[in-house]
Amino acid sequence: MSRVLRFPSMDRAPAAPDDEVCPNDWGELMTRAQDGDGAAYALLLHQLLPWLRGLAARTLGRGPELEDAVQEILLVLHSIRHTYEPGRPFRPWLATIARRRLIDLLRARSRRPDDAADTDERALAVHPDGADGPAELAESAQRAATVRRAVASLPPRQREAIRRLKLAEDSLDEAARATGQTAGSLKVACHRALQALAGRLHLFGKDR
Amino acid sequence: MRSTDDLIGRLAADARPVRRPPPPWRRTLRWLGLVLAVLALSIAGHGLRPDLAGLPSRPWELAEIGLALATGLAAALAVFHVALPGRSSRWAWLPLPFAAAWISTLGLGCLGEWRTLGESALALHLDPECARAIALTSLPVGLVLLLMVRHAGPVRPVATAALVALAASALSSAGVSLSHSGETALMVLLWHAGAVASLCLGSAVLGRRLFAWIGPGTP
Repeated sequence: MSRVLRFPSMDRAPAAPDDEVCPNDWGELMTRAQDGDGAAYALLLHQLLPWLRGLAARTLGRGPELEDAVQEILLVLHSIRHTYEPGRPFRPWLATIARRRLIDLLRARSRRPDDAADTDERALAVHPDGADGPAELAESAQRAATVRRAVASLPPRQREAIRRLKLAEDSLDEAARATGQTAGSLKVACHRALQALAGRLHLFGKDR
Repeated sequence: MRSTDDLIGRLAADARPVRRPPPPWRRTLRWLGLVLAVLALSIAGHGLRPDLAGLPSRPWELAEIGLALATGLAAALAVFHVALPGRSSRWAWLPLPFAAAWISTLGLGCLGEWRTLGESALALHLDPECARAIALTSLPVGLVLLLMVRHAGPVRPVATAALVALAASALSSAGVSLSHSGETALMVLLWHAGAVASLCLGSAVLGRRLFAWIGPGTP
């Protein structure tokens, strides 16, 4: 059966989260994505970004967490993309998933004692006299960038596990709740991520 | 941090064809098939109550069983709707009128028995056999229902888990009523409705953990 579907142009992406923009096309793109069309899926996810960023900014504020939140929503959307019912409005489906994830992130943030707000104070406590000179700071920044690149190159599940359990230092239960994964699969993902990082850090360290 | 564009590239590369769930009514029927099988096994083990033939002549009792059945059916249909992100969360209210009517019928039954039997209608039996039977029957059918809607974890975990417990336990209560007899309405209210309410409350409290434990599965 052949179907002729229009590809909405990229410039028709929503300017604001509440704009009713090409929801039918989004539904059609998701239907094709469910059938295994990766190109339609990539196009859809790119078109959703402005909407998701707007929603995340209104919920969490514009900060370093915003892009992480958008990526988390995309991961959840990916894991339950089969629940979209072709022919039904796409936006309510997307909004339910996105809002639920953002609420969970807000909850996790409120529970976290080392919230981003006091990051500067913690940094000052670690380096009270600003002893590091420009060279040390540059080297430290480069090392941090290398680690970030290595973490970012991991598969989504492993990256999520390492980010939750090692970087954000969430407990296993918190991480399981936040990601929707079991504690066991998180542990396995974290273990594999550490193994992969050991190799990749060596690689990234060489080509930096 | 790897850019969102890279993530989208990875997700698109992983865009295998997925199996869409059938419509909620069809999934409800499938699950009911399992419930009937489990209840049939349970009844085969305990046997039908001896006074079952006379049930049509006791409309009050018949209404209690019928309303428990209706509550369970409505809750099951609501589960499959609420678990889908694209469906309204208002489906969660569907079983409430039936549950309210069921509890009211049990309450009125207590009053009626108290008027006719006096103090003996209010005697408490502390053998929670019914509650135990309901919990044991609810467990397998509830777990299967939970697995059928495991994708609800990132969607509406609390409402879905509570509705799963309501569907499983209300239908189990109706099934157990076909085996157990000779109870006062107060005991039915206490052990049947009490078991259902406890299971719903426990599921609602543990909803997030339950779904985190089983995970969303692979689409």
